[in-house]
Amino acid sequence: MNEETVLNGAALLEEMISAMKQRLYAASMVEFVQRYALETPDKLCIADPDETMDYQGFWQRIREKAAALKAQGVSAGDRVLARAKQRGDFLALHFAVHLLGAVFIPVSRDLPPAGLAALAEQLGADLVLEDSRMVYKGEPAPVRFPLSSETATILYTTGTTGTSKGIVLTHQAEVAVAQNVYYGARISPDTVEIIPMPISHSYGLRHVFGLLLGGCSVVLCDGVAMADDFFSLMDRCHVNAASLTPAAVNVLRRLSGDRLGEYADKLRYIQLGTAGVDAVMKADLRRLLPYSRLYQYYSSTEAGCACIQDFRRSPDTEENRDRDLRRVGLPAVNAHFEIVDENHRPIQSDRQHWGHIACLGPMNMTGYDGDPELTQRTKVGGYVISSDIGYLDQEGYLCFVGRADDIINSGGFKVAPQEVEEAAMACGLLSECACCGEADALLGNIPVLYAVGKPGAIPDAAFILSSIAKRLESYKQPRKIVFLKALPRNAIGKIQRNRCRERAEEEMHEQR
Amino acid sequence: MNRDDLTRLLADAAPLAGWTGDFKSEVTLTSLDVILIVVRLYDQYGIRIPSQEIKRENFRSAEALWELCQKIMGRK
Repeated sequence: MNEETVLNGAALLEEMISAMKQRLYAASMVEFVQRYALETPDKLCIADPDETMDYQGFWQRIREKAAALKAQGVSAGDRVLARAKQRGDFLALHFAVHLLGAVFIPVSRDLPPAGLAALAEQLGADLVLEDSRMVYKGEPAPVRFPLSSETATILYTTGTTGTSKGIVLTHQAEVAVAQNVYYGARISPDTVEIIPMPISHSYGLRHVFGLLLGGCSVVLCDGVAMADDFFSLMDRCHVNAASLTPAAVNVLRRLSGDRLGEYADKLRYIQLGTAGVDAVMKADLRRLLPYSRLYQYYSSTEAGCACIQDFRRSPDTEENRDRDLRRVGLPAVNAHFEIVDENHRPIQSDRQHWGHIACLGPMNMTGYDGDPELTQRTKVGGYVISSDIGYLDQEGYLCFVGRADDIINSGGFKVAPQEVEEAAMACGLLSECACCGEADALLGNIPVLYAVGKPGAIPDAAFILSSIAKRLESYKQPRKIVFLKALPRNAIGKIQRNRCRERAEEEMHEQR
Repeated sequence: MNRDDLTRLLADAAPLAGWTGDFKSEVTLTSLDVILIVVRLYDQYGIRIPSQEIKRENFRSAEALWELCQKIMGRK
């Protein structure tokens, strides 16, 4: 392979980092909090259903927690794993860990205890916290801000490759992604944004960072399913912006009809991420919120919030509909894209010539924790190579064509079929099983398990589901189990997940 | 819809929530559970729960949900 044709983003990355420092900049997100605690101490920083904190109060909470962690023996380089809670107190823990130079690993709040223990061992956690609340009466911890190159956070994700991975991010990456969000969505300091998406996942967390970078106000809530709680919090905190997912919009529309439209003159913008926004939803939101900016993000945990588009600015015409079908946006301030072939060589792409999407920028991950081989395959010349296929159009928009795998996207959460199957097999009642995504009007897709019972075993769906629930988070648990006589296989004996539903219909037909 | 219908609907929509024979026992519902319950109540029985009523206190037990459904059905 010709060395010169392979991706090498070193020089461009240096330029990007230099440009990044010309914008709103500090070496870490916790440093921004301290800056605003001095500049605007009384301004609302974080609100949640339980409490509100101004910037001064939030900074004080961070320092108290840092002192409590220090008293528990946490020091620079240690790994602190904590079960997430959608509360400002949990965010304070996040930054307290950083203030000590330690690494924070937030995990889903409904990860079962066995899963938490296994993860703690896998990631070599020095401290595991089930709860962010901690009492410490001593002096606040001394202030020592981390360097931009130090590891800040490991985000644990299923991602799009099917196996669970720890994605390592530096403080530089967190600030860079915060800039992508802040400048991409044209956020202003008087923004009060509601975030119902979990702050243990990259999407929710990064939108919090985008707001804290500009000294804005963050309102956290527990999802949107409790619609009245969601809208009450919007009223109480005078919310003027929202971060949602397409699934959350579907849920809100289904549960509360046009109620979101009552906020049309208040909401400056809505940001949507984790899954594509289809043409029907775009049209619906344009109608419901005629004065709001409507952003969609193309992002990944590995190369966060790299692309953004305000689809309000693209009039809904026949011509635009065809052109916009695949557009996911323009590169964010800290992002540069190339389209590459299977050997990681850049190609000239267009509507007919696609390739893998490769992203360069200071927000890119350092790598996968404990997996240098996967890191080497995914990160080439500083670029994160995605399994997503796409092209760049003549106006520089990134266009998404498809995904080269069978990951289930359920309400914005990625579910690896293999992980669900492993958890199901552990119940001991099954001889084989296959997990597939099934279309769902609300969530896009839901995981469904097709299972074959062991000879002589009684197929007990409730037992299998409860066994899975002990191992997996709720969004990964199958919503339905369909028992089959045998799973469909191809000529070489490989299970065909995409034929399971068809097989179930065939077996039902045979029984009649 | 009677109490047995609701019991079946809840067990089907949220099989892992921890429903017991006791209507009053408190359960833990995920967001997905709430959505599926609300959708099925409407699809199967035409009971539309207004968004103002979708709050934690109305979903803490089968009894709380039953009372909410009774209230809504009484309004029809």
